[in-house]
Amino acid sequence: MLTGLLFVSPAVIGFILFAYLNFRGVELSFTNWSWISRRPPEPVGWANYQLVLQADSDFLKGLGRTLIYVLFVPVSIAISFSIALLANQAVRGQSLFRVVCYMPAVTGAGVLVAVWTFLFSVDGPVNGLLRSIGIADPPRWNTVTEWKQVAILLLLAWGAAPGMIIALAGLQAIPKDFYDAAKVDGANAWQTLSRITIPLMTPTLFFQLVLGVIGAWQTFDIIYFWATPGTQNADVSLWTASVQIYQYAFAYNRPGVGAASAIVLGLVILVFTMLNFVAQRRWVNYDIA
Amino acid sequence: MAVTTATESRAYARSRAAGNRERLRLGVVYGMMILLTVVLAYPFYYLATASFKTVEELFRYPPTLIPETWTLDNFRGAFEVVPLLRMALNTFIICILVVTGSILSNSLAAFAIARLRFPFKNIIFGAMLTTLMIPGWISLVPAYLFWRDFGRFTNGLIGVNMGVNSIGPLVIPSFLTSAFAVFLMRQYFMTIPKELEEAARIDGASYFRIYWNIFLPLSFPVLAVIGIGAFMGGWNDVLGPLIYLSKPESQTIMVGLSYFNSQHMSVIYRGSRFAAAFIAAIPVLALYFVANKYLIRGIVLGGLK
Repeated sequence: MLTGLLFVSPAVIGFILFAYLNFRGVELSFTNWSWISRRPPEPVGWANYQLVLQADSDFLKGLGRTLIYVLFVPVSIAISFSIALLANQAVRGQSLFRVVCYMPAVTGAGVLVAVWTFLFSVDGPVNGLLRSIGIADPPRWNTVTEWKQVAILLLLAWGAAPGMIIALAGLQAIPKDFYDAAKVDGANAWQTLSRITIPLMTPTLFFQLVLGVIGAWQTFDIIYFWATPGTQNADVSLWTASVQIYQYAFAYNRPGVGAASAIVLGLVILVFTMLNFVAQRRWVNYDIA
Repeated sequence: MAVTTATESRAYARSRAAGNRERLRLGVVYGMMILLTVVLAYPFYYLATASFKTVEELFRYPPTLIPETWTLDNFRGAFEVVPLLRMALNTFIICILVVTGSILSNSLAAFAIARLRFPFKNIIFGAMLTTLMIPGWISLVPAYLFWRDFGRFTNGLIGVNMGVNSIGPLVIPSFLTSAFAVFLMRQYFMTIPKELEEAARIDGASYFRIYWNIFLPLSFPVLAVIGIGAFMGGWNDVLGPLIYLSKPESQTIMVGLSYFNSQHMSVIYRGSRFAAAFIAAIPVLALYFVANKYLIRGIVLGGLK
């Protein structure tokens, strides 16, 4: 009996610490405490929340920019699903192909951004390619905000390939009988995909959507490297909600505002997750197979 | 006689048509696989080769596939900007400790939850799972304050700062389990036959011995996944070291990479940035090429259950 408790004691300590820190985070969001103040934190009621939620606040702007990445999640899933369909074909060399597909997930954002910003520089390889196919005045990817955003989305699209591993697992869990029956009935490839594969894949797609949306709301690493605060690359017009939280907490010396922003972000994530679970009833099939 | 020939030739024609279709399918599949492989692998190839190019060659279009003149100047430049090898060593030490911590703590907790009976088991497991739902951003500042006080505490107690400005805040949490890893390992442990431990119990083995001598050796695939994941997570982490470490010589390599974004970097340091990114990518890519079999299988396991 006690052995079990002893074995999980690190987990229990971890949970208590986790609960305590989050409780302190909520508490902090109602105070005006700053890193340099010598007095104990004073309660300021909802002032931090009012600041965070007033129209045109830095945080809301950040939240709006983050929404772009959230809305991109279905595109990423479609990419990983299409690659999984390809990787599920019975041809030689598939295991090598899978190894290549997962590579983007292995290296950190710092490495990827270093390569990406160069590939997309004014006279870089991407613009060279664009010029060679007749586009005389290709975009200035590293200076115009909108084009930076496009380059980031292209990086995310490229980085969606590793998701094919999960999609592939879903594909391979579909019983062969369904495809045999479809073949007997004379279904063509498109019918098989739309009537069998996609409906049976909906639980996997839903799983990817829920986790993808939660992760997208917290986009930090890529933006941190692309628009690093305090450097020449700093670009406020790219900062996501989490970069703003980081800035409030540490750079602007307003930890209470940072904490309030984080709680708002947490609630946004909660609402989106709940919406996903409500909406799934309309499109996810659990009953077949 | 004539009828048979007609059927045969029709069957032959049909099989030839099917053969053509099969060849077309193969062609399309391989064409797309090759295209995707090029698109996915090219940035890595580019990173590796550009690190050895001269600055002049770096800006040439079309980019040279193989450096015309190999140079180590970029690496020299990178070492001038930041103490890169020192940073790689720092990161490596953190990763080794994080891997140790997550393998030990998560497997022990997962073993207890999968196999032992103890009070509040379901409540504890449920509480752990709630940690997955709350974003870490809410505890960002309180965690910093906690580790600052913890550092003062350990400094007073044993004369060693294990809080802010040490690797403590990056390493110690891995010894306190992560709900996702516990969940993944629990799933795996449930598939190990009960007869094994029953026999060991009869022979008088303690639960710790059962865990250590039976469960751990049988669980290599899942331990590998957790270990590789922890290593990559530790190596690529940027927020943690950014907050908790301050001096360049104690920083990790990912934060080191961000130093190349600062305003003092001119064009000649473009190559250095590549070299630094290349050095930062090698360990995780090498680990991945050695162990991708386990990693991919583990993702499938975690993604479906």
